[in-house]
Amino acid sequence: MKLTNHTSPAAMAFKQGFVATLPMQLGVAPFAIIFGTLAAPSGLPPWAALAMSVLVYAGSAQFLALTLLAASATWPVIVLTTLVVNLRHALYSATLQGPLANVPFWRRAALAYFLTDETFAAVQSGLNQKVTRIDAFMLGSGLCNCSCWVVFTAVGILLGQAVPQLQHWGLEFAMVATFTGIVVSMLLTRAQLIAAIAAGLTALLAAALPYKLGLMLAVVAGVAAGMAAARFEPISKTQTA
Amino acid sequence: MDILSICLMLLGMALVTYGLRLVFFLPGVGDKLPPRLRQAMVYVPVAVLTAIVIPEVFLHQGQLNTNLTNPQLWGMLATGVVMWRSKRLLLAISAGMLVYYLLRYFTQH
Repeated sequence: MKLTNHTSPAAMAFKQGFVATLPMQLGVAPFAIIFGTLAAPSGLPPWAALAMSVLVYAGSAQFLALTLLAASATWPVIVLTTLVVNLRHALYSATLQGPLANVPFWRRAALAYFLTDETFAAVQSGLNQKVTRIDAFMLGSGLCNCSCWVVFTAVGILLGQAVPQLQHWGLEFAMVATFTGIVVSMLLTRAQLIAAIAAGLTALLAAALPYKLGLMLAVVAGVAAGMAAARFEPISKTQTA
Repeated sequence: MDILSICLMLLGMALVTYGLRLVFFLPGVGDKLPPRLRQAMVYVPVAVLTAIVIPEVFLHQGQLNTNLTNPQLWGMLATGVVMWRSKRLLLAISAGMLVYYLLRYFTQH
């Protein structure tokens, strides 16, 4: 890490975190646009779509909420689905608990807001590069990702009103590409691979179940398959997961 | 959905999401986590993200898409292979989107 005379380590780390998260905006921006575009046709008014991007700030959960809204699901069902889909964020918080242990609690509580898939991936790379002020790095990453998400949600809402055809432009593939990239980067062990296959197959077979129950079933199947497979793997390999 | 329900939905989703992101940052919580649960949680991200992506790619209006020129399928495969070989996310997402839009263009024209 190069340090210049006039920048503090925190400012350096902030910038590094911001820059490390920029490439992922290629997936985040179109995803935010398609969310904003699809909100009104799914029954979510513009103010609520923008409020959701600011308050919830979780792309996949927000997208599923639109699918459920379009299928006339009630709000408790949507909140429950959010719980299941975002369970992975608890894992991110458990993983970063150690590296952030020396950061004051109120600051950790503020950083928790930014704990998305993208920022988690960026912070992991920051930790691999031995960034010392990982809290500043995470703030930089979070602000980059969050501002892009909110701004492009607004762009999507406006574009959706101006160009009704936009919802047929296939922008939702941005989510597929981003998540595929993140999943492949996580497939470090055979157990993770087996978890992915089990979850994917179950999600396909159970897709017809109402209220996205198939998704929940797929998560359970994936975790169970991963844990079963880990038992047959050499210990040194499973520990790198 | 009426305004009250929308507000309750927004509030519920926000609380649930922030709560999950905060839970292990709370003092003392991480240490009490049973090892078995910690072991199970390692597989949650891969399972959730795959379970979101696979139906999106392979199902079209509830039916299995067996079309071999499905742009999403080839876009996903391109992203996956480039990510696997290069370990560079931007390159992988770009490659996937390029393949997706090329195939989409040629299958629709």
